[in-house]
Amino acid sequence: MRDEYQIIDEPKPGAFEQYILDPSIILFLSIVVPLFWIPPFHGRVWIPLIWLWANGYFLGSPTLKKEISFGILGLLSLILTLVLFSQLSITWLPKESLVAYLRTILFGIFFFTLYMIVSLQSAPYAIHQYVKEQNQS
Amino acid sequence: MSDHRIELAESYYQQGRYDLAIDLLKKLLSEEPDEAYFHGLLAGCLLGKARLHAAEHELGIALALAPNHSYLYLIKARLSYLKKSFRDTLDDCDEASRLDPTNIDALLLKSSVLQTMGQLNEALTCIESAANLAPDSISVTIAFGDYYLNTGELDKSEAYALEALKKDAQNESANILMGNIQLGKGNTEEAEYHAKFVILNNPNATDALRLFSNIKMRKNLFAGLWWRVNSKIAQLSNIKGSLVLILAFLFFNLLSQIVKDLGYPGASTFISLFWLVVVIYSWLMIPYYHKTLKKELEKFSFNRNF
Repeated sequence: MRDEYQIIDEPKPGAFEQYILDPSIILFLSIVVPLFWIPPFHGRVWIPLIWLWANGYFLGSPTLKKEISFGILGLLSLILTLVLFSQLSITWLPKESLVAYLRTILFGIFFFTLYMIVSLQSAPYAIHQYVKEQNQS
Repeated sequence: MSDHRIELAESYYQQGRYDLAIDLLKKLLSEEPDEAYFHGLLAGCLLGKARLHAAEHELGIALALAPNHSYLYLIKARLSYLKKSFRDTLDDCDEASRLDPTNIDALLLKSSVLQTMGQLNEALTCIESAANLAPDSISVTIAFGDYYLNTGELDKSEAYALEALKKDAQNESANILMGNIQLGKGNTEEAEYHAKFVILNNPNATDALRLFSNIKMRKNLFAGLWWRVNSKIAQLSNIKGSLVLILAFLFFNLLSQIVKDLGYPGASTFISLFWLVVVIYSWLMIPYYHKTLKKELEKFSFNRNF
């Protein structure tokens, strides 16, 4: 029997298929969990990224390289923003205010990065779910 | 290529049942991987599912196998249109017309692109050229109706929609056009009738489902605002859409901080709370929208294929 024709964007899940999660749930958890518990070692930044990358790997996501690239770009943007803020010498603003502005901008960059990765991963996840349902029926 | 499955795949494609068509085409391609038509049809189905990257890949294979097929250039034009590359779409439509001068679909797609680009006179000329090629075609009548709907001439558009419905009262596009016209005129009940009529005949008709959602959500006080904003954002590309959301986040949070720094902590708290309400409202609206739509659709007596 011939192998079924595979469309280029179809995910190819491996041995860790049971650990695949809807990427929007990871996004939701990464927004909600830090409201109640702050993970140590700046975990609120790197845990969602690693989790999304791992999810993409388990999924066999065809956009995994793009997802990793977006994550790295996001991390670099966060570092660049921190460096730029440390170079600023604004004396007319109290330090607490400056930190608040910085935090808002960092969150903006961080959520944008997560959202881009989630939107990339959502398409292969939807196809994966569809194929799984087809196989079960 | 003498297989009833090809006709079945074409039929699924025409009905908008893309998943079924894709499954069938994958089986056919396992047996005949070098059949350009299958790759082209698969590309068309993938476009219907908004899987643009895969559609582009399949189209590349199809064009390599059959570079002079007008149908493939029409699919390529649709792909470029979805990617919002309007210049490429026009070139692909011209190529499809050059390879098959009787291809009215290429002219009608070109007209849609020109309308999007605001070149209304040229768009009308394209529809008129299609009308010269196929004066009795219902697609041309609907294209005239769509054109006048876009220009806001609802009475003219309605006349074409009526003409199309006289030709074929069951036609999906004609009913959707009439539904949109009636919605534009504020006759929501009549608009709903046309949307329901199409959905009952074909539960996979995405344009009819969109029209139906539009009618229901506009009527809904709680979800109406969310629906309008969400529809606008959905028209943007992924990156632009998420940029809009992030800019909204930055705007409210920075504004709150600026107001606080200016010495108005009460106003700052109000802005923060307002943003929190907006976020919670947006999150809640997603399941609410699905639940409301599902409830409305459950009132329909669908066939088992839905």
